[in-house]
Amino acid sequence: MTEAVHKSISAEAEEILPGARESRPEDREFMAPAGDEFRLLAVQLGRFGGAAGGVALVTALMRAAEPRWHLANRSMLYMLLILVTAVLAGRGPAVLAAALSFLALDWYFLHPVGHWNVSNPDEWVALMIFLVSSLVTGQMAAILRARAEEARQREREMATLYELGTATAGQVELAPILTFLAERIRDDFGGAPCEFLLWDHDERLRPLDLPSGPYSGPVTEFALRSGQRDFGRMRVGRRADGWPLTAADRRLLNAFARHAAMAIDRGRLAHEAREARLLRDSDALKTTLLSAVSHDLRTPLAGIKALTTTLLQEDVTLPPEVVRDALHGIDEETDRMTRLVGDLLDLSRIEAGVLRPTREPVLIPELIDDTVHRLSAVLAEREIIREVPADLPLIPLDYVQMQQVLTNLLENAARYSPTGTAITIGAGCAEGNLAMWVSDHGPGVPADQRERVFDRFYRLEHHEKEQHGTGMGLAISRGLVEAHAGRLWVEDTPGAGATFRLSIPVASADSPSLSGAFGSENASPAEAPAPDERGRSLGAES
Amino acid sequence: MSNTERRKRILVIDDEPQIVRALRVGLTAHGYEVLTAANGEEALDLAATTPPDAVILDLGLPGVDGLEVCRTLREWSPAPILVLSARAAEREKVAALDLGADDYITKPFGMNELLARLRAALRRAGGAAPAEAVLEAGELKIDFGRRLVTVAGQEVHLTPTEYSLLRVLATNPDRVLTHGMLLRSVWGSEYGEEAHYLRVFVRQLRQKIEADPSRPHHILTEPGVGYRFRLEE
Repeated sequence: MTEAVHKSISAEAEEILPGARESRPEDREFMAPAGDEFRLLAVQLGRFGGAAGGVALVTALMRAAEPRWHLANRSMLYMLLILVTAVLAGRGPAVLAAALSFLALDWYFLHPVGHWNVSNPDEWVALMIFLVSSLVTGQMAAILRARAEEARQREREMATLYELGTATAGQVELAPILTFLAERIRDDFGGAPCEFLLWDHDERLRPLDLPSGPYSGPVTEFALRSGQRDFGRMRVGRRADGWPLTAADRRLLNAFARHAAMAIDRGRLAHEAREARLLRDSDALKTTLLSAVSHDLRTPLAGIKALTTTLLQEDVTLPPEVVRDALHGIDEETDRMTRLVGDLLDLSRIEAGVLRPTREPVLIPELIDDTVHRLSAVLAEREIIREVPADLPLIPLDYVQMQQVLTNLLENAARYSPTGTAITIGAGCAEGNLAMWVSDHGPGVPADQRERVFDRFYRLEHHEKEQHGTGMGLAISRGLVEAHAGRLWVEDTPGAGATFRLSIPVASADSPSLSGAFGSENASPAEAPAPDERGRSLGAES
Repeated sequence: MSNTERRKRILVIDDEPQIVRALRVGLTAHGYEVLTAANGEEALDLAATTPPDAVILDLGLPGVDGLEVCRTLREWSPAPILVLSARAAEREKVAALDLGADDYITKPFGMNELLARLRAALRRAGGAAPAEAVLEAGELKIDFGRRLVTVAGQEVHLTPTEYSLLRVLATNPDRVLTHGMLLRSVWGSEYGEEAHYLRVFVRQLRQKIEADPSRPHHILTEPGVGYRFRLEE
């Protein structure tokens, strides 16, 4: 069974799960189809018939073979038949065989033959002793048989339950457990099909889509119950060999149903735990957002307010250079707020999962050059080492989002490494993945914090020193890379420092290779047709 | 702008009073006459009765959509349209430019940048540039009549496609041209989606005409939107 099917069942079960209802007193452990009672009765009747037939056969044989046999031999032969009946068919048929043998002895072999009365008192005593001892022997043999049968059944049950327990313990995924149970039922109960139905919100039973498929025909229904919850029903159909389910079978199947119910309950609990964790996470996000908003936004606001009110004072005349300084201050503070608001917006878009990349073919060298160029103020005193092969193919990416990722990584590198040290930015394409990296020669990131640096607002708890980042850059970068189905992580720069590395899978079909275009400076690439020389210029030249 | 000339009239369409106030102060201080409208309907009425020389349009308007105003205005008004747009709304910017807007500015913006864009748009609309057969931008010189391109006096050999691309860019100086516009005008109407041609040719062109192709001076990337040819130093 494929992963995809598992997934869909789990989703389906999750959708239905809240519909689990309280179990009710009128609910029964299981319900067998009406026909099964008759079938069991027929089997039982067959056994009685067999016993009677056996007696008739022995009687006929003895009458034909030797009319002058001694009574003791005859009763021994009957006794043997009763023993065999007790072992093969059990208690009731053995009693029947004993009674019939008693009557046959009396009628056919004791004087007067053909009459119920017995003339010889000795023979009457022997007949009575035969009746009692045959009944006792039959009973004991039947009890032994039942015990052996029971022991075998118990052993089978124990083995099955043990296997069920080990196979389902610790499993939270519902689909594999239910599939396993259905397969076990099919194997252990002569190919009997099995399906699981769960209550939906309207208290209707909805079947789960398991590979065994739906089954039409008479079914025995077992309640899926765990504690006070009733999740639905397990339906087991007829065995392939036509035998009905015995009481022992039903007991065992009920154990299957209990395991299934427990698995469903575990799934429900895991689902609830996940929901709770999500709620807690989003609560935690709101809390950190609030604290960040109140601190980080208030700081530039305070600056702006102070500067503007200074400028608006009417009782003093400010020298022009002070006015300019104040205005520059306001300008810087608004830039800071702009960044904060932008980052907060991006973060909330990422959290909400609405940030979809608009992919278009991107030339990685152009992207890197453009990004570094735009950051020339931040990177002014840095040597930027580019590790970019010239023959990188065009790669479908969201240019704006990837530029933001690289901007954040470069700013981060500039912020956390000493002024004057070099920063390396590189890219490569191998095995269907685009790799990009930004390395600095700062203190690096301690091993135990390599995941935490991607947490939102991590800086706030970590760095006392006033940094100009928003503490959201790395979280946003990771979110944007993940929106491209890629990964972003941090490792050590050989020597010293941190290297942020990203990997994005690239569908080769979407990245037309125009590498030929770079080699031949003076030729039009074959893929790109020459322009229409009649001119469709946008410009005024016509 | 001489005194005898009529003051240029700018129509500001924005529903946010703070922005309208800031623009009115800034533009009036630089000698422009400012008309304002808080929504699309009002703006279209005003533009019809008092034709503006340029329009500053906020795309996030209540009622009639900003893009719709842009489209309607372009049907009968030759005034250049400068679009104000939110951050990270590249699709919206591209849509506005493709509908005939001349340029965009991302909010929040600096007044200097807005004024520079506005001047460039008015200059283009004034019809000063196209008559020139020779364009000079720093070391770069393009002689459209002779199809001759030189950098610092050295002739640069361009392929026909490269030359077409440069011509389209250079004849629309200081103006954002979307990927689609460039593709359609250089390669033809059926090539609107083939952005990778453009990437490759822009790179080649930069290697030929830029002093430092990794820090382009003339052909600037407008992320997610297109390219802009810079004329001014």
